[in-house]
Amino acid sequence: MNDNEFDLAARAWLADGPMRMSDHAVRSTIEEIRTTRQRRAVRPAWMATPVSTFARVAIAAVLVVAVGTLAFNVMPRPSDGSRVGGPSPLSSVTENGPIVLSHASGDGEVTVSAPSTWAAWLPGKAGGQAGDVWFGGLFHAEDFFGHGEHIDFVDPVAYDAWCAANGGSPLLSAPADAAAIAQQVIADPNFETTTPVPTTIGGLDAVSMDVTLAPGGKACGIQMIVISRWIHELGPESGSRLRLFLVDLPEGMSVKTLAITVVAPEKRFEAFVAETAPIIESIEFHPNGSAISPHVAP
Amino acid sequence: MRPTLVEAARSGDEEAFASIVRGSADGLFVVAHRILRDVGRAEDAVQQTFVTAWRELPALREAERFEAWLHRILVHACYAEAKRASKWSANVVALPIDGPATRDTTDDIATQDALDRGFRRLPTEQRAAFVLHHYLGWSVAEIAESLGVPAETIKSRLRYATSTLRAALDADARTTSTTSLEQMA
Repeated sequence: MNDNEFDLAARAWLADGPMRMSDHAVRSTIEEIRTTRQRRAVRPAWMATPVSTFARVAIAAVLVVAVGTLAFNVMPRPSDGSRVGGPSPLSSVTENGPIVLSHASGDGEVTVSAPSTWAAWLPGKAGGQAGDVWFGGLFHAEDFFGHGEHIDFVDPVAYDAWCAANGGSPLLSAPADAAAIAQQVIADPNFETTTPVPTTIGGLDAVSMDVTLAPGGKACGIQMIVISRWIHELGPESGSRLRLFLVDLPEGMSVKTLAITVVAPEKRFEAFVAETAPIIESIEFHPNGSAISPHVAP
Repeated sequence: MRPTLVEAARSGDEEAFASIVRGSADGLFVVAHRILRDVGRAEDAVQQTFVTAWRELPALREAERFEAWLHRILVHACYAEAKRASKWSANVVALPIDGPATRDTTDDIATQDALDRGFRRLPTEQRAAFVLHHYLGWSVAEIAESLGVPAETIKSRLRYATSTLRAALDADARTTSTTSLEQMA
């Protein structure tokens, strides 16, 4: 057996075997996480500012509200159509079809449906390092380390301001609507873009364009805020293409303009766009968080 | 890999980390299973990996290094599981490793049996290097960086693992050929 034959035999042997961790083990892992305290690292200097008494009172008030909200969300309620158990997805099983899950953002303002092979993380304004920025996303549930294929949501204006406040150079020169943001992305030398075309998202007018990193364009590292990173965050790798949808939202939404992106490696891009079209079409907006009871997709 | 999720989890967001668990558990499980060759121990190793990662995540400086970092924790969890398993099995009489009494005539299955027997003889460190290289397709440099050991050490582990598995395959081939000769006689 020569080296090539040995490599092939070894790969075939390693590929043979169970490919999925049991659901029970995954659930039990997540439960274990919820009872484990994170070891806190030393905070960056810009975060280590003195906290005034007023700020402490304010933080305490926010925590009380947060705990109250959490309790409200997790308390079981009658099955009269109201939400039970917080933002867990609702599912529907179509006859002989895939299981479709409906996900609502943490604030109930955005809902989206996707096959159960997708995982959703839609904290709205509640998640992550840039805590005041609305964002979320969907990705292949079993492809976390995979192929850079995902759908993301972000408030570009707020993210841009956050970048500027934390040492980055903003991409946007001023608060703007969807059309103006599209023009500013086009004007940015770091990107190559297609001509924006009108479309609709959730029944609202939107613009759509494809964006790639220009030759020599700067891609932002996560810890390196060189220019506004919101668009890089959505498609940071060279060789990937993103389809950018920009939609102006109605009164009553906490975000004025939402950016939605479909990201995939160039060679998989068209297939991925086709695959994700039903997910994009399922997006709905709910002013004032009226999506307390997310719909179940057909 | 989703840097935003990693950053959120690093900031203490349990839901973000739960999404990471759901998204990456299967991938880690397959690697752990191939190293440990046992479903229960592989699940234990993955669970321990996530708990450790969650606890230590705030200390991870670069979210882009999360995948390598997580695999490093996983491999160490596999070492610990293997050590625990060896304590439990110390009083158990090992079954002969000569293979099934009736051999399958399919060459592929015979090869896989031989690789399986050879692999079980390897120390866990060599198993891990072999799986990361041949299953995940990582280079020696990537494995060395992820595990935090010199590249020469990884090369050496791969060399020993390969020679042990080749020896198992050669022994299997000799057995097959002897059996065939006996049948012809």
